[in-house]
This record gives sequence, structure tokens and C-alpha cells, in this order.
Amino acid sequence: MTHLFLTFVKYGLLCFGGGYMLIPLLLSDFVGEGKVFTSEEFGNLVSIAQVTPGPVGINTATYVGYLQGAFLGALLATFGLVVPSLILGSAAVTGINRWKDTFAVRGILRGTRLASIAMILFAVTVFWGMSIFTASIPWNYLIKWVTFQHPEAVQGFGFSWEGCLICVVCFLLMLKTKVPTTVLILGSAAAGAVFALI
Amino acid sequence: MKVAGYLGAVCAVIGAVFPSFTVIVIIAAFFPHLQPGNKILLGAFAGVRACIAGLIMVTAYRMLKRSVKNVLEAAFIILCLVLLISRVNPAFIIIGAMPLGCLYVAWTDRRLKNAEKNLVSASNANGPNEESTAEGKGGEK
Repeated sequence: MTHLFLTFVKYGLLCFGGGYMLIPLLLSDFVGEGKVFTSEEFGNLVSIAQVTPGPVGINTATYVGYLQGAFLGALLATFGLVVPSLILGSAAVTGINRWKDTFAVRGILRGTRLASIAMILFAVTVFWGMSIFTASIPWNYLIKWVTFQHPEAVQGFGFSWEGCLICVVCFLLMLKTKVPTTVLILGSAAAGAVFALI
Repeated sequence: MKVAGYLGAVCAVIGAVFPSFTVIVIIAAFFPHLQPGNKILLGAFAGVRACIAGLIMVTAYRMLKRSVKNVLEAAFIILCLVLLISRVNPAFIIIGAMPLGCLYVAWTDRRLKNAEKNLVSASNANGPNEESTAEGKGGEK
């Protein structure tokens, strides 16, 4: 339990730039062979967290915490994720005008901002592996293929045009119009269900 | 812009977290396996995953457009991405980015200062002072 709490305190400290930043962090600790979730389960978990009202990051933390240690786990995980930003946030409010121009603060913000863009792009590739492709993207295969090393064929990796369609439509609608996220998600769920029936 | 001090911050956080916390705990209690057997439900989940991929892409696109200003920054992002794909722990990448960001800011600050100095001396001497510009750039690398 202490371990769970400290893990989420760590996440709270590292989550510069929003809730989706949590995805790569959780992936490296909780998802994979011999760990807590398969990538499919993790995708469903984030989906539920996204559908539920409230910030995605906090919802995901609550869910993971609940699965790890029931009610107390959920409480500790949520609290752990929030505590660092609560403390840092208060510090920022009192000190922001004094420190915001120092090169250390600007440097840390600049560096973490760029790194968090990389994190979010990584999250994109992971979600592609669960939606527009039928399995996670086989990077080893791609590297070998690019370097002419004749890789072994990958099992179970394919393209899903339904997923790709939903993904592209959601991307464009979100970017160009003001459709609420909830509508997009419910629409995609309906579309996914219809595709599954056909 | 102090509204209600530290206690206010704590209450705001509890207020923001409590409703979704309750809902999530209820869902997690009744839907524990995350792996529905129902074909329609599976399809719906696949749809939502695709939608989330799209939503994250929007966030990524907006961040890229707003934050990335030159090739060096783009190269740094690509480097981080390659490290993430090769399963380096993201915690190390964030922590490593902090000192690198400081170095980078220090470097750009100094370049800016040199450029200003050159501009002043150039207008004083009535001609471009190219030598010191090159020195300022080379010395920092």
C-alpha cells in the first residue's frame, strides 16, 4: 500500500503537462507481460476513465488504485497523485512572480514541456496499437526491416479500417469543431458497436 | 489573486476529485475485469479506444504547434520518443529533461544577449560585427 501511494506521488511529481502524461508512466510500471494489465485491459481502463466525468489522469489513478487495493488503494492512489501538485501549486502561487524569470525555472519548464510532448506522442503510438492496428506496433520488426535484417514475420498484427476511420473522424471533429468530448466518445462507442455487429 | 489560501486549495482539490472518485470506484467495483465477453461491448470499447487515440492526437498536435520553435527542439523530442519506444523508463526522461532544459535556456539567453550586444556595437561602428557573432555561437557549443 505504501508502495502504491509512493508510486503515485512519483507520478504526481512527474506529470508535467496534463493527464495524458500519466499513460506512458503507467505503461512502464503496470502494463506488459508478468505485470498487472495487458495492453487491451489498460486501453479499456483509460477508456472508462475518459468517459467518466473528471480529469482523465485522476480517474485513471483512482481506477488503477482500486484494482490494486480496493477502496483504500483508490483513495491512496488519487491522493498520492494530487498531493505533489497541491504543494507545488501552492508554492507556485506564492513564488511565481519572484522565480518565473530565473533561468532554472524557465529551463525546467522548457525541458519538461518538450519531454512531455514526446510522452504524449508515445501515448499516441500506444493507442494506435490498440485501435487502428490490431496489436501493439512491432518496433523491433520495423527496425530490422529498415536495416535490411530480414525479420521474422509478426503474428497477429494487422490494420483495422474501422478503428482508423473512428480515429481520424474524432481527430478532425475535435480539431475543427466544438463538439463536446463526451459526444465524440459516445458516438465512437456506438460506431464501434455497430461495426462489431456488421 | 489569493481567494481562500491554503485551505481553499485543499477544498478545491477535494471538490474536484470527489465526484469522479465516487463514480470510478462504483464502476471499478461492478466492472472489475476490464475484458467484456460481450461482442457488442467489445466493439464499443474498441471504438472508444480509437476515439481516445484521436483525442490524444489533437492534444499532441496543439502542443507541437505551440511549443516547438526550431530544429533543435524537434530533434530533442524525437530523441525522447526513440528512448520511450525502446522502453526507457519515462521518469528518467522527464528528470533528464530538466537539466538539459536549463542548459538550453542558458544557451539561448546568452545568444540573445550576444546578438543584442552585436546589434548595439554594429550600430555604433556602422557595420556588422560578424566575427564576434561566430565566436558567441561557437564558444557555447
